[in-house]
Amino acid sequence: MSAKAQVYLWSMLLIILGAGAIFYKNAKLDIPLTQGEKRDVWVVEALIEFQAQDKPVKVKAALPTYYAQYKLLEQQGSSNGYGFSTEESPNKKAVWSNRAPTPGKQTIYYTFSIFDTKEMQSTADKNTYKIESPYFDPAYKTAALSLVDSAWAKSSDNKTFAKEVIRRLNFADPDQNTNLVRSLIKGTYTEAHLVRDLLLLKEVPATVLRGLKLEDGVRKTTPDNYLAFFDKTWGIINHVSGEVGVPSDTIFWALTSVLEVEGCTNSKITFSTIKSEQSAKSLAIKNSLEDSSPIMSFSIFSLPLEFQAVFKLLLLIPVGTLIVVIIRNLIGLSTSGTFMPVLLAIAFIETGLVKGLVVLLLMMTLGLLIRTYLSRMNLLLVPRISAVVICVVILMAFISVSSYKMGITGGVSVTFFPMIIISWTIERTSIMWEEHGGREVIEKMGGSLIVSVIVYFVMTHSFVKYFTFTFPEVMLIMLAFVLLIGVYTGYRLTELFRFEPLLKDEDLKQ
Amino acid sequence: MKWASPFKLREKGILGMNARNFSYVLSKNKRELYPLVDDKMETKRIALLEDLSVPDLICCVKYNHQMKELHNILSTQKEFVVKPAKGCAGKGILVIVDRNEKGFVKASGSIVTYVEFNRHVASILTGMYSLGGVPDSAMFEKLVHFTDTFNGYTYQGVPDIRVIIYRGYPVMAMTRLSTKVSDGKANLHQGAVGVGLDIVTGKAIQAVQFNKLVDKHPDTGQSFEGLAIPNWDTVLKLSAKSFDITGLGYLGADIVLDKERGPLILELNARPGLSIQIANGHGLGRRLRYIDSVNKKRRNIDEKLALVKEKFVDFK
Repeated sequence: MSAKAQVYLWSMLLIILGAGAIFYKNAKLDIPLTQGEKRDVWVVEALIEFQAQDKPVKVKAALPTYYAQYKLLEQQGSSNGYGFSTEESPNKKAVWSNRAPTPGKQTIYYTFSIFDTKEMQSTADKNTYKIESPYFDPAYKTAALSLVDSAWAKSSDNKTFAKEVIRRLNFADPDQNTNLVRSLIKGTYTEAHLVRDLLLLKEVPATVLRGLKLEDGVRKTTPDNYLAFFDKTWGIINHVSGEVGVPSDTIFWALTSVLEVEGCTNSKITFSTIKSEQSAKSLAIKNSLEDSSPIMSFSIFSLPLEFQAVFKLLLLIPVGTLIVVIIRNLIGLSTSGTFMPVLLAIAFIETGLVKGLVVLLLMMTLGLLIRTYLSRMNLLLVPRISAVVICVVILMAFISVSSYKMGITGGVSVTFFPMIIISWTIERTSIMWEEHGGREVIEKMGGSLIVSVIVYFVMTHSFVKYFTFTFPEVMLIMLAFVLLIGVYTGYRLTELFRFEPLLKDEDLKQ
Repeated sequence: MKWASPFKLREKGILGMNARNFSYVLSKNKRELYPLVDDKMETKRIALLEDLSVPDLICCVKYNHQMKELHNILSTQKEFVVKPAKGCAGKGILVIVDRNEKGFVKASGSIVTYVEFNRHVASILTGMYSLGGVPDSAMFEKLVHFTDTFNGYTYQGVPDIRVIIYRGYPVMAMTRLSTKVSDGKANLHQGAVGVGLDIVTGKAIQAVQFNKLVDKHPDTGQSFEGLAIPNWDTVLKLSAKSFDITGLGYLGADIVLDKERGPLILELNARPGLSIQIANGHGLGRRLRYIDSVNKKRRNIDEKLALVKEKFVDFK
């Protein structure tokens, strides 16, 4: 196989591999191609307080059982001195225990965060639910039955029936039956419980849920009671207004109580909720990391955050080199030092463009002046370059200190410049100056600076930054392009101009 | 600013830089052969092995401690040329035509003191002019006395003839004439005049300065019409032999014409530039492809030259 054919084959493979991985991550793992999309993330902090006594204590806090359009992102319990474990069935619960707690008031914090998936979760499942006949005191049962019967007669399905029951219970001018039934509401037996029991009389599946309304910045709230009933799917009905539908921004516990305790008194659980926004990307990534998708478990995201930050910059370098390849081999501009523009661009990323340019030009100018003087001393090559390196370091220190003293903090960033590269550039520039004059120097250096500014702008573009970091697979595609440019034998853009006289000449002859 | 259509360029057989590098330099020139041309001492050595004419070597300095010995040798020479053996683009070359009590006299008439001269030699040795800054040696050659062919065609500088040799066939030639604008240097993009030479006859085709056609030398006013290289066949044969001594499939031979000795190989180049196309008004690509198409049969150098002389008459 010829060298060119190998290059085409490899490029094809690399592009298919890279594009395939990107497509998979985008389509299957929901990682968006652009950063733009943001999703709501709610951080719910549960504060559990109780009075510990002189005996072993066990506290169980249930996680929500129905999240509506939300999905659990992470959970965390801070359990000062308590053993922490989780229980999976029948409900997800966080469990704290201590054999000999310090008597007195104890607090435990439990935090979980959920994010908006923008998709309601299915509620059609009725399997785990068992209808139990409600208990009514015989004195009330007749009244309840008559209320239910009249409502049943006036309804066509479970939904209209539930509505009718609630409407009857909330008549402005209630009859005797209704008053009697309403008098059952007492203490923990709330209106929701009453409606549930009335629905159960007609064997309509119904249950009371604990629901927490998510509101930004709300502190120490407690879950409210919500009434759920089954009519093909589970639905929630407002037990006062009769309005049907899942209330927005609410998560539910299908339990009578969120908190269970053993061995202590005066326990209560309160919730604080905070809303924040996170890019859909990071959510999808966290999500897929938990799903242990093979492509993600070997990704950069599985590294600790601090190492990820290093990669953020490293992953941009291929982009810079690709641009240099394009500029040199497709456009045909030469740069002084093949990849110097990339190194300068990286330095500009650290310093900021304007500051970086100013500091670089200042250092180059001073360096050239020193180098000019050094050349008068006729030093040999290596000692001369070493002298330039030392002078550059001294200049860096000088620029940093003096700009700091003058109150310009940016000067300190001079240290980000690769000083060996700068020393060599000064050396080369100076020889160029001696041999070809200042014009050539300004053209070549100006060209290199323009290229590095272009590289800088591409490397700092938010889409490029996001894309290279989120989809490092794009490097395979870039590699393929570099390989392809490596066998490109067509004309460079500047050659179209350079060789143009050759065509003009022919026209003249004709 | 006018842009050429790439299709028209291809139609005309113009060779671009990428195609030159990929199809010719990379595939026809083996990397291990490069030192033969990148080090001018090597070039000279292998040329002499085959009895090819080169400028005479006076001596070669490798170490700083040889400086005293150097001056002993040079004391017998009135005029000479100092070159970095691994230099490129004419950097570091010093042409000495005489000496006086202050120092050496350069071709331009200015003086190089002995101290400055020693430093120049020392910086050549440290690699200041060499590719990649590697340690180098300084070559001292006898000064070439140019034929009168170029009288009136150059402003200072060294008029040399560049012949592109592809697989042993000379395919295109030009001569570069320095001007005032180019500061006596034979570098086309600095303003030297490139004169395309008919590969068959050695006669000037056209002249180009800064990518524009000129019909006379900008400084001397001499018309290029009558310019023809004498002993053209010898020039062709000498340059074609550079393929045999180096094995480089695609190379540029730089030839100078000495008054007494005739054509001499000054240096060889494994990556010859593309400006020669502009000087000739023709593309290299078609000629190279033609050579590929006829190279199936083995030919000796005379057969190769005969083929070129037969086929490249009016070959566009």
